[in-house]
Order: sequence, then C-alpha cells, then structure tokens
Amino acid sequence: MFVLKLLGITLLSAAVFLYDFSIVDPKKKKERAAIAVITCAGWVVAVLLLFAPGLPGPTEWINQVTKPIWIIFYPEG
Amino acid sequence: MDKEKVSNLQLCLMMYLMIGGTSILVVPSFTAMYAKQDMWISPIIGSVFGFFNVTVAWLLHRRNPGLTLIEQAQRLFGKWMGSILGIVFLLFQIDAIGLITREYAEFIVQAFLPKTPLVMIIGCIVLTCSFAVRSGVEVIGRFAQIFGPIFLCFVLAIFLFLLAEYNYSNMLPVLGTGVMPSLKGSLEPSVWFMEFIFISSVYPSVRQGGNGLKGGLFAVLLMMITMVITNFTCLFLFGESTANLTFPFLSASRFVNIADFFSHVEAIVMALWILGGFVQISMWYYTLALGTAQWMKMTDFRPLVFPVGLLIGVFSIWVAKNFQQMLQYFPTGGTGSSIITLLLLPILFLLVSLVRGSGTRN
Repeated sequence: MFVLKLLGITLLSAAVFLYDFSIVDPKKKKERAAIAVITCAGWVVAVLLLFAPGLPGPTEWINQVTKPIWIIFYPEG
Repeated sequence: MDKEKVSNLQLCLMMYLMIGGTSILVVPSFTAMYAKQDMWISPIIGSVFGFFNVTVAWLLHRRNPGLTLIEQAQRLFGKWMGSILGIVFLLFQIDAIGLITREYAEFIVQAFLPKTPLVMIIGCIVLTCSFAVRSGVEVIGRFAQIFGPIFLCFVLAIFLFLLAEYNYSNMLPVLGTGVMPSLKGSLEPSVWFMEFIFISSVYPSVRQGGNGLKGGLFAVLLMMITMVITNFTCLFLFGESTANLTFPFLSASRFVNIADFFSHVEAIVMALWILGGFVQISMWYYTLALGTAQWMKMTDFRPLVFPVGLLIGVFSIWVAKNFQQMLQYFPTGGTGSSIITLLLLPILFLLVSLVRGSGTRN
C-alpha cells in the first residue's frame, strides 16, 4: 500500500510536470523553472507526509509566530 | 496579463461566493461561542472591516491602475522588499486555500459521504477547479453569476421554511450583558470580511473599472445580510447551544419539514454548497496562481495552474492533522495571520502609496 501511494504521488507529479513542461515554449526558461520548482515542492511535501504523517504543518508555525497578536483577543488560547 | 474582462455584477457575486461558502458553515458556531444571544449583531460589526478593506483595495487600485497586490508590492517597495512582502501574501494564500479545501472535504465526509477517503474528495474538487481556473477569470465570473443568486436564495429559503419552528425569545435579552460579548464574537466574522482585500486581484479585470467600488461594497453588504440571516436561523432554532454544533446551518436544514411532505432538504444544501464551494476554491486558486505568476514576473499564469493545484492538494492534507485542530486554528493563528496580512499590510501599502505619491489618478 505504501509503495502504491508513493508510486501514485510520483506518477501524478510526473504527469503534471510533463504536461505543463511540454506546452510551454522551450525558450521561456523562467516559466519552465517555476513549473519544475512548484511541482517538486508539491512532490517533496507529499512524500514527507507519507513517511511522517505527524509532520508539523503550517498551522503550528503560524500559531507560534502570530501568538503575540491572537493572545490579545483570546487569552484563554 | 489577463485580457479577459468581467462585469461589475460578476465581480460582486464572485467576491460574495469567494467568502460566502465557508462563512455559512462554521462562522455561526464561532460567533455563538462568544456573543451568545447577541450573535446576530456580530456580523454587522465585523462587516466594518469588509467595507474598509474594499475601500483600501479600491484606493490602491486607483493609485496603481491595473496592478494586483503582488505587483503593487514590487512597485511600492522596490524589488527586494516587494518580493518579500509578495511571498508573505502567497504563503498566507496557500495556507488559506489549503484550509478552505480541507473544510469543504471535511464537510462532505462528515455530513454525507462518511466512507469516502478525504484525498479523493480533495483531488476531485481541485481537478475540477483547475480546469475552471485555466479557462480564466471570465469563466469563474460567469459561474458566479449563475450560482451566486441561487446560493443567496437557498439561504433565504432555509430561513423561511423554518419560520414555524422558531423560538423568538432566544434572542432576548438584546445586549443583556453589554456590547462586549458581541464585539468579541465579531472577531471571527471580521476575519472572513478581511478576505475581501483579495478583490484587488480581480479589479484589473473589471470592464470599465469606473464603479468597481460599488460592486465590492455591495458584495460586502450581501455577505453581511447572509451572515445575519444564518445567525438568526441558528439563534432562533438552537439558541446558545449553536456553539456546540460543528455545522449549525446544516443541522438547521435537517429541521425543515413542511406538512410531512417537504423534508430532507439537506441534500439540496449539499448540492448548493458544492456549487458555492466550487466558485470559492476557484477564486482563491485563481488569485494564488495569478499572484505566483506575477511574483515571478511571468507573462501568463496558465502553465502554473496544475503545479499549483498539486501544491493545494498537498497543503490541504498538511494544514491540519484532524478537524479539531483545524477548528482550533481559526480563532488563534487564523485570526493572527489574517490581521497581519489582510489588515496591517494593505494599510502599510496605502500609506506608502500616499507618501510616495507615485501613482497616477485616472
């Protein structure tokens, strides 16, 4: 099941990458780089979540960073 | 960047649905938690932020015609500072759209399809939305024009169908413990109203942007009326116990029963909420894809739509371990990050724009 999920994520990312990569003009380097970076980021996070489902997410970070602000309104947390 | 144009009515309904979908689901219970029987006053107080943010977005648009927030950041703050502020917006947006998609999926799983995996529902809606986003803002505008009025009608219809069940004394005493509870309860709706700043991503596409301000303000007004109606429905039906319900408005729709003939309306609620959620996710998706493309100074956002969609799907799983953690996030980190990115940053933009006086007035 684990291998299948990994394979599924990889195939999906590859499909997204190859489709968008093929329709962009090869001379547009910036577009191609952006597609590669964003697809890779999605793939990396997905695989990380597969290995460690308890990985601290953006909610925890934002909660910590913005604590000085929301503690004013909701002191009970 | 975008040659497509939307009308003022479409702008209004797009903004209405961009905020509306999730607001009718979870906001009533958050408001009831703090405002108790005065929960219907809270959206009216919170809407001040909506009117304020639409005006700020409009003034910024007037001073920097044809530019969205991301481009304005680079114009007002220079290359490096502008890029940093731009990425703050983009990170906020990816987190917010992850939450919205997750909320949508959790709602469907908890209320209607308990055996379907979350990933499946998220994948389906993101794929559907990505086709809409690839087609451009005009297509989303037309969707909004069709679904917006239906959405509003269904909120009104649920309110009217339940007239016989209401216990009107639930709203008494009005302001019994002073104005503080309703002020505190208004914080959560005001976070939703602050999201109206993203109207700035659509302003450049409005046809003859002469009275775009009116369309935006009207969207805030519609949103306020919708929130007041949903809060009244929940208040009259459940009283203060609204705070204990996860999806109060859905629970309310289960009470609709007219002459033992017209019942089980929640199926309609689901169908209509999927329409609203579809436009909502598409709008956030569009602003995110457009913003990312503009942040990288690309000429077209379409090649980025599918990669961004993949990222949205992954983020919607990543933002929260479970539904409880997500609900806990709205009054804490959600409020804090919204105040910074949606209220303080635009005010800073406007101040810098006024001080530099660089924009041309048209």
